[in-house]
Amino acid sequence: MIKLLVIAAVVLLGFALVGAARGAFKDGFLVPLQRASGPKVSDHFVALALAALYTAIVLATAWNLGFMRDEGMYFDASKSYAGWFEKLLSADKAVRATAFEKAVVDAHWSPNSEHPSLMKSSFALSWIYLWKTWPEGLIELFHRSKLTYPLAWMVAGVAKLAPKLFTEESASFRFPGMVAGGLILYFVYLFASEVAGRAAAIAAVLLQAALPRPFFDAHLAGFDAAATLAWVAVAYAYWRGLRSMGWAIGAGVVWGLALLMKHNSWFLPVVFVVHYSWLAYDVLRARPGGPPTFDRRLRRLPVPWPFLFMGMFGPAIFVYGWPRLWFDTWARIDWYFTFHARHDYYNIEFLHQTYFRPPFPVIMVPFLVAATVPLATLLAGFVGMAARWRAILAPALPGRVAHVEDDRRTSFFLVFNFLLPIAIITHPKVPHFGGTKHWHPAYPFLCIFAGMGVVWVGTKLAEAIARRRDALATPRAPLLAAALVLITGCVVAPGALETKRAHPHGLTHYTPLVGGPSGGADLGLTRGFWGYETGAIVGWLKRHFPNGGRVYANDTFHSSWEQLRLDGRLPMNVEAEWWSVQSCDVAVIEHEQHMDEVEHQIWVTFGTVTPKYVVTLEGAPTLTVYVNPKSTKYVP
Amino acid sequence: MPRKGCGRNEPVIPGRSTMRPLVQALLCAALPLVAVGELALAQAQHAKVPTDADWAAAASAAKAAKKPGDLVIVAPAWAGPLGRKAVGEVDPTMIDLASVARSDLEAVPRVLELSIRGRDDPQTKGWRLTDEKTFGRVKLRTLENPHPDKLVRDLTDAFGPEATVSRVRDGVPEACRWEQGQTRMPGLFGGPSPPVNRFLCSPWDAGWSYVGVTTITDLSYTPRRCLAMHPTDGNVTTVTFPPGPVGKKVVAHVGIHVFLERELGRPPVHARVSIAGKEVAHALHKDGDGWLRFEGSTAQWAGTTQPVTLETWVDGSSQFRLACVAAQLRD
Repeated sequence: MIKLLVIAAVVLLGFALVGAARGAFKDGFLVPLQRASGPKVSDHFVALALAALYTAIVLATAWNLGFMRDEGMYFDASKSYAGWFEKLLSADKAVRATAFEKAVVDAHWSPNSEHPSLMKSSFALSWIYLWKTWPEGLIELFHRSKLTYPLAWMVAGVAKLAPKLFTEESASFRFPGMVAGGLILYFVYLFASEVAGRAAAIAAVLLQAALPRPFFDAHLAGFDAAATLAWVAVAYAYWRGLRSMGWAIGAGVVWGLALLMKHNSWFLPVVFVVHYSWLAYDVLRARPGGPPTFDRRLRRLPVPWPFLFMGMFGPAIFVYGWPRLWFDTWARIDWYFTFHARHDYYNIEFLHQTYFRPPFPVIMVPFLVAATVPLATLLAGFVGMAARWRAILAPALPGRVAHVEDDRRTSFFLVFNFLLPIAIITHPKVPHFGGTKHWHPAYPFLCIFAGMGVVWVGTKLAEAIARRRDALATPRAPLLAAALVLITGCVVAPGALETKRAHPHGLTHYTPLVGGPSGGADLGLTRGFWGYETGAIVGWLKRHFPNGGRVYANDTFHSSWEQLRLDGRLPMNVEAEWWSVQSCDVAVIEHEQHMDEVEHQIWVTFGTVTPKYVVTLEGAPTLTVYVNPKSTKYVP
Repeated sequence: MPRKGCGRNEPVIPGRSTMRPLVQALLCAALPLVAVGELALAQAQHAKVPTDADWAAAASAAKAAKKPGDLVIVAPAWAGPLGRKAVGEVDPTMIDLASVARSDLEAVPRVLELSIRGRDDPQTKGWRLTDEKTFGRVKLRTLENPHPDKLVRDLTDAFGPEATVSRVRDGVPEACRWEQGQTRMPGLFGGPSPPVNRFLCSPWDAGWSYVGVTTITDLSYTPRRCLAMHPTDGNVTTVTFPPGPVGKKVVAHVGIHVFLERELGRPPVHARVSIAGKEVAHALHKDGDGWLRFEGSTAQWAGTTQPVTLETWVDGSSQFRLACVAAQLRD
């Protein structure tokens, strides 16, 4: 699959180059495409190529990343859903019919019913067709109709190139999440190119790709990369839908799919209502140079068609796209919302204190943004916002000062999309857990501004250099390009370096601003969670327990451990154990403050405080391994 | 020009120059400088990460420098696994549960501290630095206690089958029985691991009604080696040590496992130390107190041999009141 993705990226870039040769980029790289003729097909090729490359990198680096607790649960749920899809897509009509029976639906869709269907369905389908039955399953499926014969031939052709798509089963579950991570870049490119031009779009994509925590999340069979994708995709469709009926309809469909990804998509209409109110106020007020009468100003107000289609399609897609809601619909929707409205508070450590319940410190989320997003990216985003402050705050400024950038008040829209995900979690009573992932939907918008900031600084730099020779000169294209490449490279480099170094321990990563991972440990910030670090000791276990052994796996979920064995990362004779630790050969502890008590229990149970192995990131321990002195299987 | 669509396009009305030239210049300069600075800082931090060889060299030097009575410690606390691994590989006897889960360093005359990132153990505040050697990114610091107490008897170390352990109700003792049982690991939010060597008291539940040496996790998530003495409703849990040497004072600590204390809503626990039947120190531990220090004078018995009694009891329900006491007789 990695090879296919790289080939796809190269081919797409080739198409883009052909397009460029035919004048696709004649608008240049600095002009916001919304003011020109909009993104060209070649822009889509560029954006998709970047998305494919990113997905390839994520897939290529997944082999040494262990499995989170939630991933284990989603593997289980996806396998259950896969059973339903196998009925639904069966060649036997009678079997297909059973897929619509309540008993069958409930039997397959009950596991993990607190999260909607789309991502786990995609994990299930990827597992069935890209792993278990590749390529025969798809070929057989596409051969059922003459219309889809070409697809069957295509699959057969691809299979010759790639007889096996993944090296391990888990990658097939994780692949849809990786694609979601890649598609975030696609939408960032489109959005940024329309708002600020292609150069800003490329910078924004690179900055988003080089964010360490989202890079980590993009590896997982989870909902977090998808939730970010959902947010940015719906925001983009809504924004386009204020000018285009087609996109307005698209906004409704995309929002429906977003609702099927994760519950935070229900907040999106709030963003749009606030934005549209702000926009309406600003358009309708009198200003110098604007239309003199209210009636004329009213005619300039975009019709909010996206709301209509979101209302029409969103809930319908949510219900029809989630088989569990086909029966006892209202009761199950009520249960779903009640579950999330009364979500458990999990623990999170902040500044040496573990919080088990609210109120959480208001400073926690902004602090963690500053501690996990590279400072250069934050500053570039700030520069991008500062360069547009009159547009962002337009309705709050006197008419003669305010800058009307476009009829959609785009800068405000972007800022609001950046701030709201952070603001929601900042509220002291909203559950804080899972590190920073819950506000990752803010980051594409930050990176769009950062792309603008990079271009703004690059342009100013080129202008300054040009004016050294001639006070009235404007920079020539090569100089401008060099300045943009230089500034983009400078600003992307810290994030790229930190992302590379942090892998595969991304949840231990902190930026140099707070001293890196060791600085995070000094400050008492969460060092890791949800048990994935056992993936980092498989090599050590194989070396020191060649004849197998039993491991107390601490916070690793049993299905997550099982996946290590199913993937062949661990031999089957290395078993996990949670209840009779005293008879285990090995006990591990993942370093999270509230887990300290378990480490102290291990000391008493094994009678030793001396670890045999410590997993670290930049000197900060993430997982410590103790060997039972009574073990007969340990080979030094 | 914007494309046609369902909205009517509004013309762009540019504002005036959005930023003053000085602000523009500052931002232009700041962005590349910050980016390069961040990159340089990341490199510098990366270069400061201690290697396994640094830890091993410092541990070997600690072994060479160690004298009887010295304690080997690691700072900062989060680097403990790395330091303990290195020290344990050189000599497993140099660092043990008693030293790692200590109550304090007041009775330790000298420590050898494996230190990174310029950190010291807070318990050595005010100590004299007498030697410092550097091994890559790890320092071996020799710190001397300016006013060390002299340890006369550590009651946690002294605990064994010769002690008398009972639950006392209205002055009537119910004896606990000595046993060598089986340990088990309770797991997260399960309290401390029960020790193998212990007294078992009524209601004879090996999961919690034992009296024995274990390690709890205190409210600040610090390990504390101590004598677990869970009181029961209306009973005083009592441990009497056979006669032994007594110094001028007793320094004790009492704490409750973090999971049982952090809710901050349960009844307080009493802990008392008596010499020859006379109370010398008494603490009332309320939730939120953490690892609570208390002390008393034993000067009137200094130099003599006396029995010592530790007691715990609770005002109210004893559920989840797994009090753990560590006491030392000192000069």
